[in-house]
Amino acid sequence: MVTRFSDSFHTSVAKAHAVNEPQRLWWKQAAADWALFEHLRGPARWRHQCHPLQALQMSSEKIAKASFRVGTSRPNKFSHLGLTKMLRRLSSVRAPDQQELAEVFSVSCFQHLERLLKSVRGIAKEIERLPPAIAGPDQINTEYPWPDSNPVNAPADWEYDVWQRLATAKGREFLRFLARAIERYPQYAHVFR
Amino acid sequence: MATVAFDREEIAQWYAQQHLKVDDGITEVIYLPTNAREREVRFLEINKDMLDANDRLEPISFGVDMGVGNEHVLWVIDITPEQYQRIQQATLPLPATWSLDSAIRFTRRSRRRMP
Repeated sequence: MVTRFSDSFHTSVAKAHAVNEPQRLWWKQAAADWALFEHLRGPARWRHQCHPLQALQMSSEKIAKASFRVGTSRPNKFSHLGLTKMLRRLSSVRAPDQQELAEVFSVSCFQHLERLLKSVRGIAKEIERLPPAIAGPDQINTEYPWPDSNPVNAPADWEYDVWQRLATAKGREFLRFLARAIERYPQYAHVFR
Repeated sequence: MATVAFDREEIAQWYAQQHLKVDDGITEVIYLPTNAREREVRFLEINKDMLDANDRLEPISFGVDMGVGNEHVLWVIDITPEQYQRIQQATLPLPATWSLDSAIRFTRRSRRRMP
C-alpha cells in the first residue's frame, strides 16, 4: 500500500473536513514519515531495519499526536502521546460516531473495530517503545548503540523481532490499520472533540 | 441545543470498560468523582506496560465531547502498579483537587466502590 500526499492535497482535504491547522500539520508529517517507511521497506530495499522502523514509529507517533490536537492549545504531556493512547481514544468515541469510524477502518461495525484495536495494540506497543527515550539507554532501540555505558550493539546491525512480526498476518493487519489511520485522518478527525 | 441527562458514573463505567477492552496493559481503572466538576470524568489507569513512569502526575485530556447535549471531559493519568501503591500510601501526591475519596475501581471482571 503506497500512500503519498501532495501539499495541495493536504490543504484542500483538511479544509474540506474542518481539520484544524495543528492537526493538518501533524497529519502531514505523519504521512511524510509513512511514505519514508514505505520507500525504505519497499523500493529502496534498505539493508538496515532500524531506519524504516524509526520512520514507522515516527509516523505512528505523529498521527496519534494529531488526534490529540483538538483545540488550539498544546495538550498536557504532549510528548507522552503515542499510538496506544490513540487506540484507547478510538475505542471510546461517542455512539453517533462509532459506525462511521468503523467504516473508516474498513470493518462492518464498531464491535469489529474494538477487536481490531485490541489486535493491533501489541505491535503498536512494540513500535512505540523503539525510541531510546522510551526504551531506556541500555535497551534495544532504533537510534543509539546500547548499552549506553559500554555499547556492544549498534541499531544498524540489529535484527529486530518486531520487524519479523510486521511480516506476519498480525503485522500486516497493523500496517493496514496505520495506513488507514493516516490516509483517512480527515474523515475521522472530527470524532476527537 | 438540548441538554440531555448526564449520568457521570454510567459514562465513566463505559469509558473504563472500553479502555480495559482494547488495552491489555491496563489492569484497573480508578474513577475519582470527588472534587471533579459535574461534567468531568477523572481516571487513574493502572498500566503494567508503562515504561516512562514519571512522578509528576499530570492528567491528559482523552476527548472533550463538545457541541452536543452530552458535553463532558475525560481526564486520564496513566500510572504503574507501583505508583498506585504509593498514591494509596500517600507518598506520591495526586494533582491538586484529585482525591481517592469515594473512588470506584473498575477491572475486567468487576466494579466496586473503594473503602
